[in-house]
Amino acid sequence: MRRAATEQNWYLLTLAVALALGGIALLYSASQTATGTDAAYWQFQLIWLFVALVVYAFIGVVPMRWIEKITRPAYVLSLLMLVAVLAFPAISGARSWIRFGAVGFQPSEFAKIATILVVAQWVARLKTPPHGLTALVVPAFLVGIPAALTLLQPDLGTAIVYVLLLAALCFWAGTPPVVVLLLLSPLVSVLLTFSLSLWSLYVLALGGLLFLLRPPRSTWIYVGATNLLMGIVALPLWNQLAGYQKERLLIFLQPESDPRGAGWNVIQSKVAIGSGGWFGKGFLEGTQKRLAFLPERHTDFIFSVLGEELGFLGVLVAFTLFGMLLLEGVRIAERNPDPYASTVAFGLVALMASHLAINTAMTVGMMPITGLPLPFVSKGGSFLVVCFAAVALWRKIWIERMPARR
Amino acid sequence: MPPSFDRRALSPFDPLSRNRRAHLARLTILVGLVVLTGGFFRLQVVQHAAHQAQSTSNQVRSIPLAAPRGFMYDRDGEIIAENLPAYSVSLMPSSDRDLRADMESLRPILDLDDMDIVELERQYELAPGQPILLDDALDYRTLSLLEEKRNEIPGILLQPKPRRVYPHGRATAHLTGYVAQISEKELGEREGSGYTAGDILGKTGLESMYEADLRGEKGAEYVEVDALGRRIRPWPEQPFQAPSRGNDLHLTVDLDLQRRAAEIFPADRRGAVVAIDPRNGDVLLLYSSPSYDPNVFSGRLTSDDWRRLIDDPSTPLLDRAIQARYAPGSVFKLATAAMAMMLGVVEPDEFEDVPCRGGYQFGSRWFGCHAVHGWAALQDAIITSCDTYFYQVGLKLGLEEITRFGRAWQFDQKTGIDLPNEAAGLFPESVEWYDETYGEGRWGSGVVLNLAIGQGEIALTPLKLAQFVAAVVNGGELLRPRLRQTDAPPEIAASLGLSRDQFEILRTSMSGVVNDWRGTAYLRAHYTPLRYTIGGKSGTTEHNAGKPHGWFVAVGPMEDPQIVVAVVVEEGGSGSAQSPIAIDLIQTYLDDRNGIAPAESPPPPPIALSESARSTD
Repeated sequence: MRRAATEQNWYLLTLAVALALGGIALLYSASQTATGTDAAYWQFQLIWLFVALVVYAFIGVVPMRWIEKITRPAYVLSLLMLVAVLAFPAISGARSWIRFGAVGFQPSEFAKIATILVVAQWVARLKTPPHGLTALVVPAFLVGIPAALTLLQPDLGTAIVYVLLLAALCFWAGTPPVVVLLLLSPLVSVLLTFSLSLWSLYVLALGGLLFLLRPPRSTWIYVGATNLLMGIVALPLWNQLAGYQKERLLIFLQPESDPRGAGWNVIQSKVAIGSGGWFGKGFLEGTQKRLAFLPERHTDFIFSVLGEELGFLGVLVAFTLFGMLLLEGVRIAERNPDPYASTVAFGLVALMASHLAINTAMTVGMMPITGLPLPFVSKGGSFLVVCFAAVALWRKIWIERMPARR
Repeated sequence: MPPSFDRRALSPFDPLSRNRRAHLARLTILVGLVVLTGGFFRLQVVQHAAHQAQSTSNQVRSIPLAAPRGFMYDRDGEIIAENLPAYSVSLMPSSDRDLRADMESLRPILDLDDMDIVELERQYELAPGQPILLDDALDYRTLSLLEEKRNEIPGILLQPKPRRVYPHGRATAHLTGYVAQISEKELGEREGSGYTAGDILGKTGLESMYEADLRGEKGAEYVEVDALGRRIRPWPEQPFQAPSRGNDLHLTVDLDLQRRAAEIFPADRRGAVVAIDPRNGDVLLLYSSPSYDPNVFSGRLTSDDWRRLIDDPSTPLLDRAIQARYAPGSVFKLATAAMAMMLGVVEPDEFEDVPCRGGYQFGSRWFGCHAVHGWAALQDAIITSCDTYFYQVGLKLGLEEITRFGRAWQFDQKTGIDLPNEAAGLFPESVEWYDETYGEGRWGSGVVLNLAIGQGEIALTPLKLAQFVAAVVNGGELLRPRLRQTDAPPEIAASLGLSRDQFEILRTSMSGVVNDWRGTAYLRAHYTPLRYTIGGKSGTTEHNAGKPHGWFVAVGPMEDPQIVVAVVVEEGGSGSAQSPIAIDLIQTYLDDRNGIAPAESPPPPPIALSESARSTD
């Protein structure tokens, strides 16, 4: 299989590089404010893009089987890093960085990939599709451990991504969608804990669903116990959340309640995007951005700069590019018959899709602010490398879709 | 594809099952993207207008630019009130914490004390986001110091703000009034009329009366601000809207006369002098002593300055010309005489029943006169100001008639001059008034004797008395005094209703007061040569404390009266002692009208104030 080292999925690579270059253009704009221009942002990102492409090329020469072999050590290593990171000083309220002098990275980005790999390995060993909840205990633990460690940082957004990853991977493993929903049902309980009546309605509906499905007793026990437990312990759990996280959740529910404080970000982001209109104010012309009304415009709210300067059409173009990328990922997962490779490809789709959805929905107030970066676009070197590593894996899985007979 | 022997053949990863799930995944991705797109569509297309507006108001802040007030000119077009270019410093802090810090660092430059800081913080709370005025009378040194601080304190706003200036401040203070920053209370009362904190408002005098005309229309400077409220640059779409100056006010007063009055009025005395044109009610002069400098209010008035003005026992802020009331004394004999002639209770050429023996015996009480006048007819009695004669006239008129005339001739009302806070005259409205005030039977019938000579229950403002005397010399029309020049005919408040001959008698008598050797003002009036035929009437007001107040009301020229001057000097001694002031002002005015240069005017007249208290007339 010598051709594997040089064969490309040009379509995929072009999409990824286009998104990354678009991101650098947006960073170039975002760093031009009335009080000054900081070229360092986009220049660093450009350097990181080269690093990411080198990583992409490097992964290209490694066969998928080798990757399968290092899955477990990689997973264990990432768990160790997630523990280690808790020993490092917090940056803006969260201990998510491992730093040695000027060099630093966020282990949670790599942990996501390692987790996808390790769950894929579990999927590959299945003889039959997991039909009940009991069959999902192993992946739930595999995902639950890094998710719990991430929550300790605390990083709510990434923890949510883990939950979505678990659901997507279980689905790809052949679990009936209803069972996946039941698996996630306690999370809804947590969210509804603020209103006893809503929660009661939800529990009743859940009971009705179970009655119709007639699942095994273990499912009844899991769904009943976890939902009741969540309903009861969610409030103390809520009090465990960091102040800014509570604030963010509350602000999500009602951003106008605190327009000067924590609601500021959402309101200003909505104003920026809304004032963009159909065609936007023009590249580099965004006033909300230029006058620094837009917070975190290089990272979490980079999409708001796009919405303000390039308008609804710019947003459509961006969504089209992302859509093409995700659908190509699904196609790759579909075409490769190897369960491990296929699951990895699908897991990466879920990772990118959840980041995209959570990040962009946040900028228009459809989701709470969680600080998740937008793949390929947001400033941040380690995440850009992770994104290109994902593209590299996709490419590899695509090339190896016709496995060599052993 | 043949059935595979792969160990994973039974796994969910057979092509068919994978394909089904891939379709579901694709559907999920597409639905998700459509939902997200819908969210952006709602925001960017449906709600675009609202967010666009919000974005603009985020970005643009309007900073009001003060409008120059209209000027005030005297009747000859000389400037009484104008504006000079000045700079104001305001602060546009982005938060109240910034405000504190900024004010601390500005404190030494602007010399702010703790009270000022508390006051400025209150202003910020009233209108957050609006610039707070710190000082609007910067000198160039302070201006350049602030200019240097600009980088350190981005909220500093240096703006041109025209400063109100009265070139002859003290001479015209009570006329113009003053302007100062609008107070919180005034702001509340004027809600909806476009005032904001830091605006300049006419507080008293004409500035207050014609505020709506004078204030002009504020302009605005539109600046782009960033999220921290720092000014970035002028808003490109509309950087500036020029303010428009208020309407000018053309006054009837004569600035030369105002200045002359300020010059010759005894500096250490309280009192007032007004002059009106008896032909149309134009106010030619309105001066109150002591005066103050209205210019100090235009800048930042320190609390010390304010306290000094308020605590001054001579109450310089009081406009004695229209707010202080004095018993008119013998000047009122003109009114008593007019009433008597009108009712026919006296014949002008006949003597009264009892000659003046230095007083008059009424019942058990002796009512004194300031001299022994013997037998006197009406004109003699006015010229010599004989009390005895007028006691008897008062008795013939009776209290009822006097109070009735008093009402008809509006002694108990305001003149209606276009100045705020005018005081009405005090005059008993009827006989019953005495019953109500003192209790039935608890007042003697002697009150009518006092009232007849302008003492007792009567007190008039200098303007009111001038208005009455003007009516005496203009044929009987009580004209509403006015300060604003107008082509409109004079407004007649009431008519006295005497005949030509009767007015002639009064005029001749007034002429005699000055020109007849027996006249009370003869000696004083002739210290300096008279260039016009001037008449007048003196009045000396006894009161409980100190020397009497002296009145003199003068008219000139008698053959064609153009000016009536009323002077009152508190504790000035006899009324005749004030006649040089009135006569000098009349001559100054008439010289001016006749084109005689001011240089030819005489030096200030000799005004003797150390007159003995007993010398009354």
